[in-house]
Amino acid sequence: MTLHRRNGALVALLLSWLVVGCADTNAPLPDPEEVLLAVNSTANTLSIVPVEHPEDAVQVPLGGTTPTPVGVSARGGIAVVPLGLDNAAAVVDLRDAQVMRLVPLPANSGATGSVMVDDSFAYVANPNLNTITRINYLTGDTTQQVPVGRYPQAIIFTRGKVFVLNGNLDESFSPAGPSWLTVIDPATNAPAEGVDSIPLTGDGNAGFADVAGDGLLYVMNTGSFFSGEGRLSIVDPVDRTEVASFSGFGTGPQSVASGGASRIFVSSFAEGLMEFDTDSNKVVLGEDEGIPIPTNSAVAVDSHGRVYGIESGPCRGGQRGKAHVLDTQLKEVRSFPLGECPSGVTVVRIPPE
Amino acid sequence: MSLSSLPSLVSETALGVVLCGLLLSASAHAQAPSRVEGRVLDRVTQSPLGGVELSLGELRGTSRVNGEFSFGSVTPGRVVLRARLIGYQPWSTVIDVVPGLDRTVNIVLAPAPVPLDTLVATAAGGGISISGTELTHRGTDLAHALDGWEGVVVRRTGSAGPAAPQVRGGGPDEVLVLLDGFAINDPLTGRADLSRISSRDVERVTLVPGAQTTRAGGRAIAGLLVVDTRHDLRPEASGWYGSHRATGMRLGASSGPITASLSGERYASDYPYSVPEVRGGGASIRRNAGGEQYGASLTSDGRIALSLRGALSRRGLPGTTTNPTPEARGSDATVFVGVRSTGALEWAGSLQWLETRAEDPEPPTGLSYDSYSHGVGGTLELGYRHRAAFAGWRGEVGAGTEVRGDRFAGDGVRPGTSFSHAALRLDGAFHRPSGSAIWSLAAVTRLDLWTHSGSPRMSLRLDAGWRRKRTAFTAAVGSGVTPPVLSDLFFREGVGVKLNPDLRPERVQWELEAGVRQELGVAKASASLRLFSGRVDDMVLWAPDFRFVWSPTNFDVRRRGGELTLNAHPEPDLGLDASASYSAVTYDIPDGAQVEYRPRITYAASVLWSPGAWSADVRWHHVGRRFPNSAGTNPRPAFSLLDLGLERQIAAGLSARGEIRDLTDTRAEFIAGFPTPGRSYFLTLNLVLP
Repeated sequence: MTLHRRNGALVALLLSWLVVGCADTNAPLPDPEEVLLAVNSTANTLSIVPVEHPEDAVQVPLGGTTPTPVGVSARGGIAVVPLGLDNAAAVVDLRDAQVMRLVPLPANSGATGSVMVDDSFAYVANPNLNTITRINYLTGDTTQQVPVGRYPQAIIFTRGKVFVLNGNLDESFSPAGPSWLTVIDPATNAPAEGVDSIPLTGDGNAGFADVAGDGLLYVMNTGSFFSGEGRLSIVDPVDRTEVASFSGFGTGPQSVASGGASRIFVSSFAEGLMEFDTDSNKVVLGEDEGIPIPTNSAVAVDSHGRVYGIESGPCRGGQRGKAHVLDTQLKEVRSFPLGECPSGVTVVRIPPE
Repeated sequence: MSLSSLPSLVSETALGVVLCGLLLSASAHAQAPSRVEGRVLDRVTQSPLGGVELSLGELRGTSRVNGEFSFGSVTPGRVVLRARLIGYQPWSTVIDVVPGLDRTVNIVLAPAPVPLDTLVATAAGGGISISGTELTHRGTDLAHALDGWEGVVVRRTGSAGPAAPQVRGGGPDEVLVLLDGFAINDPLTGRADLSRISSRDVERVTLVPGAQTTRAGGRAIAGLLVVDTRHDLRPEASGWYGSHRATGMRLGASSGPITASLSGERYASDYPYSVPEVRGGGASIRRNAGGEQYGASLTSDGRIALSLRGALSRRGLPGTTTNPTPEARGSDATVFVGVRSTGALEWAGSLQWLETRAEDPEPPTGLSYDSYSHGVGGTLELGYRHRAAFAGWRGEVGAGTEVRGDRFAGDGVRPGTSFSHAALRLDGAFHRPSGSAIWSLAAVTRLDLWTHSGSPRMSLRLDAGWRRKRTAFTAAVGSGVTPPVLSDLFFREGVGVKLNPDLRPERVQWELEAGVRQELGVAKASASLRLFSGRVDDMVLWAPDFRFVWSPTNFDVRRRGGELTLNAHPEPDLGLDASASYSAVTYDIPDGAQVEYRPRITYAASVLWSPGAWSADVRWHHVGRRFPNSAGTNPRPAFSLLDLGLERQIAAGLSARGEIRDLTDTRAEFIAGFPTPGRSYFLTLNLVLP
């Protein structure tokens, strides 16, 4: 009996060794890790928050000295954060949670928005210079500025073209009139052939946009932060025309985030979190109906449909903002702290190395 | 190195050669030093008086318990011997010191009340003093001379121009500076510009750290600097030339009780700075940082003291290095007249006119501006002091009241801006000998009322001290209150800036202080340690809201820390000083960060060696890291500055001094984007007529 058992164990061991020895040495890579990136303006940091484990969040000091970064773009394991009045862009390695390099931008750039167009190039908007700058975020090299419209605040990339949101703000940073989009061909680093300018309806101050599930661009024309009414423009990026414009978001709507299908979410300091449906072209949650997230500065959506409504907090005195996590029914399921004054967010999947 | 930088290099080198040549080639004017000694007595009781503050020309000392004093190595010539002690009338005489001949002088002090500023400097709470002689070895103006001394941090944003002191983590508008008893803090900004006071015009500076609003009035929420000017100026002149075209001159003379001085200075400009990493690193030239300032003063010393001062400055406003403003200019002018009477019944009054202008016709971003504001302010003070004694305690009690009114107009303030402030003060200061020890006790309470303050605000401070032979202890507890500065209350709203109608006064809540000073008995060395802890409610700081609109805003902060100082004079001609300070000023929230641009740590050390006609000094100053935001992130790097000075008496009354500032070429930035010049050479010639 004992011998029989011993033989059985030996056979099992042999089998195990055979199985292990013949196993595929190229095991499948783990899943990408999805993270929420939040730019904390007055702290001048970038919060990297794993969406499944927010308690593992880290804050990366960006190296700037002014409380002016407000936007972030990301691709793969790298993020680009324009540093506002520091006239530079921080390139952040999201895996190592540290700044890879600081890319100097032209003097008085006041850089705010950015977009990454491929695995080496990004565009940064210089609102004080009415230009954009293409940077190689892997090397830190920059190319000649490209003139665009008045006060470019944000950039978005779709259908192979770069769409620059010209805020059209005057010297006192008030809207001077309607905004428009400038279309840039990244292949030539010059205005795109054909239609290179797309007029928008509204009071101007276009500063936020996203591409929705229908492939169209949804651009928020905020207008004045303190009075008037914002309008949501729908732009066909192929025909390069504004196909519709909707009001109903009250005063000072800001960030726009696509929920993947037909849902577009809009943040607002005054109204909280609002929603627009791209199928019905209706404001689902509009003025006076928003989810009451205080000082709602931004919004993002992850691959599970969870909505992150960002509360900026007072932006001073060392008091931190927070992210309110809402389920698909827009019920808050949890919240977690961010840095001081989170103002711009995005969700990105970091592929394993 | 580019060709364009060659002339600058040649100029620097030439300056260094001239400097060395002057210092090394001149023949020494050998004069045998003399000794002055004596005793201090009470005129009424004829008992010896210890602890009397004595000054002989630029030398300082204190009488021993038996009343005796002595000064060694006194430079021959005509000098003024002064004696001061709380509760006695100041005493002075002129003596001729003959080479090689010792002098004995007996001093008899008559009991009398003393003016408030003297009380401030010598009361139990204790001030720390530095003599004019030491100051001249630390810098040509008080902004340079006081930077790093006893934890004082001077906030500067360039080569020269406005430079305000910070103490114990307070802001630049939270230190009151009294010049001959009159506040020199700008009525609009609350800041005192130390760069306008020449070190050679100063007899002594006394720092009284901590909340001192009860004693000295508003703005002294973090500390008080008392500057006493000299009234024994022989006709004298100074002129200096330095790197980056910095030049200056100063003239001064006293005749009887009248002292007059004139000064003019051109700031360094177009100096190199290190481009921060965020902008790509390397080096560049700081443009539009120069300017000039002129000053004149006429003072009369005596029972009724008169002070008349005027100042004018014009300077570039270069902006930050990241967002330079090459066309921006600023200017300001002020005229001040004050009169003060001392005695049992004290009174004082002052009147000040000022104007300020800032303009930028072509700003790189935003709107062009040309902002002109002007205003007038006045003060009246009335006080009564009375000697008192009880149960072995001797001292004095006093009561006083003061009123202040200011009115401003122009582009920078709201129309019809006016502000009034009234205060009532009761105080007492006593000391009591007990064996070989002396106890001291001081108490003061104050009621303040100002425009829109609602009800009067009361504050209170108690100071206690004990001194025996080589050891002294002090302890204090106090509160304080000061209204927001006028520029925070009444600025004109603009793009991105908004008034805060709910702005509250800053209040110190029962700050505790304790200190010990020990004479070490070797090498004439002493050590002192001071600790403090308290809260400041509603500290006013500028901050953005969530829409990035900036306003002055109230924040509760905690303030704690200490200062450690070591002094030694192992040889009569050798002085060593070292100090370290720690000031944690944090937002009163869990894990609150250090308040913006308040270094937690500063260190300083200096050596002064003056053998005969030579003197050499070395000064090292370290400023810890500062945070540019309220989140405590992205700290600005700590920096250290090393300055060297060499001075030589060339002939009777004529001396030359060479300085190298920032020997290691640190090019420090206290505030991000505002670099100061790096290594700079200065040559100063001083002429003092007999």
